[in-house]
Amino acid sequence: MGAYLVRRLLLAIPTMATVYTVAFLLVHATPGGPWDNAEKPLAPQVIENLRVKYHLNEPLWAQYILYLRDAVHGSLGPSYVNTARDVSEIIADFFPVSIQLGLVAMAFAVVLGIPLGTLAAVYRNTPVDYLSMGIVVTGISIPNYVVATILVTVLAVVLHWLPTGGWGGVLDVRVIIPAVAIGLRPATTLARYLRASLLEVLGQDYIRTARAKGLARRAVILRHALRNALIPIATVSGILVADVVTGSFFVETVTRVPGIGRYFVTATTGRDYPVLLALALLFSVVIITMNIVVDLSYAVLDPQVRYG
Amino acid sequence: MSDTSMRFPWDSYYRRGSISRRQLLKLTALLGSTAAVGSAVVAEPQPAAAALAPPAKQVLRYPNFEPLHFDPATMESRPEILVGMALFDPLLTFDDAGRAVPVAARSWSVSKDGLAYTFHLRPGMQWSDGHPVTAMDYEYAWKRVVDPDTASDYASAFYPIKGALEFNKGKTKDRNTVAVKATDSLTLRVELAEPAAYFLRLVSTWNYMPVPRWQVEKYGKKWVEAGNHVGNGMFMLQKWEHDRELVIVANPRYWGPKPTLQRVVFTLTDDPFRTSLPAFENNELDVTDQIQPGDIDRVRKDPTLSKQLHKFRWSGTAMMFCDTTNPQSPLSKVKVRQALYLAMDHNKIANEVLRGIYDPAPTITPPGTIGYLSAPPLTGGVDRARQLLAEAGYPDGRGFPEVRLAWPKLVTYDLVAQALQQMWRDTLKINITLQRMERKEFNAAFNSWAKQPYSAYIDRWGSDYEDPANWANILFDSDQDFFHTKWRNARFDSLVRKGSGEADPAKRKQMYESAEKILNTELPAIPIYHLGVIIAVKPWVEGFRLPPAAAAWYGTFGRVKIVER
Repeated sequence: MGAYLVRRLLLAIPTMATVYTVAFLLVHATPGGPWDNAEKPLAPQVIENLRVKYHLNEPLWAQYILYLRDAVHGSLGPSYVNTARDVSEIIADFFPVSIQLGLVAMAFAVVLGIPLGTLAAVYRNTPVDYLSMGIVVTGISIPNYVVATILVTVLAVVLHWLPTGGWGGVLDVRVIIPAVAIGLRPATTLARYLRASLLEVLGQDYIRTARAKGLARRAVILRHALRNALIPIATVSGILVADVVTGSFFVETVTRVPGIGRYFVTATTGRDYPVLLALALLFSVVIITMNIVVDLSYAVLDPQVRYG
Repeated sequence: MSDTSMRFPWDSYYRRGSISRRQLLKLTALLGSTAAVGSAVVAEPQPAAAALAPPAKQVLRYPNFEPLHFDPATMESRPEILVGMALFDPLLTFDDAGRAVPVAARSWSVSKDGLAYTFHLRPGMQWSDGHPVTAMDYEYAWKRVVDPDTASDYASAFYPIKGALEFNKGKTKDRNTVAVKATDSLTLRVELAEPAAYFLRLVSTWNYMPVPRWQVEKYGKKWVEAGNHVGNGMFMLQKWEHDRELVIVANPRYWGPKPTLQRVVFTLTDDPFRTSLPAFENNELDVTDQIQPGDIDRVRKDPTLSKQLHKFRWSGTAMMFCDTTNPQSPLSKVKVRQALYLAMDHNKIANEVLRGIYDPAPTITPPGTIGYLSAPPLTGGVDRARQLLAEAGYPDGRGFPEVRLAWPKLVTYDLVAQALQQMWRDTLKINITLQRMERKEFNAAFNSWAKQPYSAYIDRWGSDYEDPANWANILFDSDQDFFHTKWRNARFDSLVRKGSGEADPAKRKQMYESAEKILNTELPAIPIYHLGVIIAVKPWVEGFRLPPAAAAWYGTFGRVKIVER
């Protein structure tokens, strides 16, 4: 298992290098630069001063090396747009918020998705199944920013039960609207996968054996069927977690959550090159990590899987 | 300048149930008002019967974008300027009537030739950390803006000062060649390269505010963070949680009258246009940001919100800029531009397409700025437009080549561009191709148009300060040609260049009005609408108004009072 982990981590290096190269090229190929202002265009001299200050007057390959060298040494440089702040500071401010929000959303997804999927499978082709799957299809069809907008309008503007937005940590009531909005889709994904996987497991011989032994229906489902049905769910969850912790631009904007998803888009429209590169690298680290975690979790969940 | 609504002071008692509807009507009738209760009524909020809230409740909750910083040298947009002008005192400001009003300077004098300015500071002023405010602080700050190392976007606002241009362009490394000098701790002397009648207007802008040298030197770029930030304004920075909340509080060391308002709590988001209205309705904010065309109809119909609407003039104009030298584009012909202008229904655009959030702009320079014309020089409407188009060689729109109209993505431009396309198709039978661009992409294209030919684009200009030096001179003088219209008119150039140094206000006005007539006849830019600010304000907020140009935002929060709800 240790050797496997080392191999996976080494494999991550070329992946990261590819991500960096592609991101670097894309960022510089996009029309417009950080100082292309039109409402108050800068004097040519001013732009020149800025370009010198941030090494943008150097050839592209030199910039490629310069940034990489700094990044490897842990320095992500200053933001071009928000010149008073460093990129690492910005990430340290925003990323934890998205992680916390993402985890709350994921908890909501599990709490909603697992029972929905289980009920749908156990009561297959009954009104319970139709109702669960109806909820699932609705959840998949509505984009999360629409959910967020509806929740803000109903719960805050009309009923005055909750604030319209803001952020005060995972225990603050303001987490509810964005967490539900972000968590709804993962919940439905989990429910769908679980229903399919549980149906398959329920058809297995060992389930029939368990029932034949006279075990209670409840025990059969919870102890034998559900546990085995959760293995594919672990795979999906890993991807879902990587998705929710990297934030959602729309939901974070609508509900005024200072998260990294929102910052990513702001940085793109502002052509904030160092921030964009740093976030591309950060997101790939998150995804690679989650993939490794998922693979390792198989070993725990499924005794048939062994890593040597 | 609130418009849509003003309640009578006793209206709040009625809504709280302290008085009956009959009493309310009686009180209203007593005043002899013909206005129906509850519908749109009269003028400015009167600091009225309602009692002031106690100091602990003198808090204003205000939406804002995350500001970049509050460093006067590099502040450039509203989120910074609005807060920054509460944190620092400029030497002087201008009132609504256009008179200079002393702030940190007690008085000033100008030499006969208009080249030397001497400012006398008030004695005894202190920074928020107790340091004395001196003329050296201003000298340091001004030289810092033009220092090429600062890379300030606004260095050019200092070019009228002798030596500033050379130092900023790196022709000399000696900052003492910039002719700003504190001759003693309370006297600041400035020499100009040539007379500039608008120099005091420049001095009233945020870039001319002082900077605490000791903090800048101690903390570098981190001096703008809460805890390190030191100012000499009416308020001081107390807390700044990035992208969440920013708090400014009354500065106990301020030299002048103490504000009634004790704190302003800014909720920071990256889209206050969209998020501030629901938060306002849920009573989390006391003021909204600009209400968008998509929301305004609902807000006007809402019985509560409609009474809380305020509209302020904002000195600025959205225009369609044309490349006047591109031989491929029919817009290089004066008569075509005149035809498009005359066929444009300004009222329909402002009142129907934009739902009245902005005002029609028949001429370029906005009201309130010298050179503004109350009546446009070109008249004749659609009939004259068709005739001009025929004279230009396109009778009934025949043979009119493809014209591409570009604009940076923005709700109002999207609406206007589509309306213009429709209008000109209906009246002149010509077709315009629309090209909507992402902001930075547009900006890059815009910068290339200094040299490359193009057809036309929509964009706007908002005043930094209300003076024609901020309009005709920098936008349309052929040497400046800020908007790349490549328009050249010798008489216009000579008028505005003379006007910028003219000390006699009457002569100056005449020069700029003549120039404006030329500009609005040749139309290198076709004016569309004047900017405005339409926001909702809670009834317990009194005295809030936004002056029409950023330089005049000094004192905005100092005027606000919170009354008992």
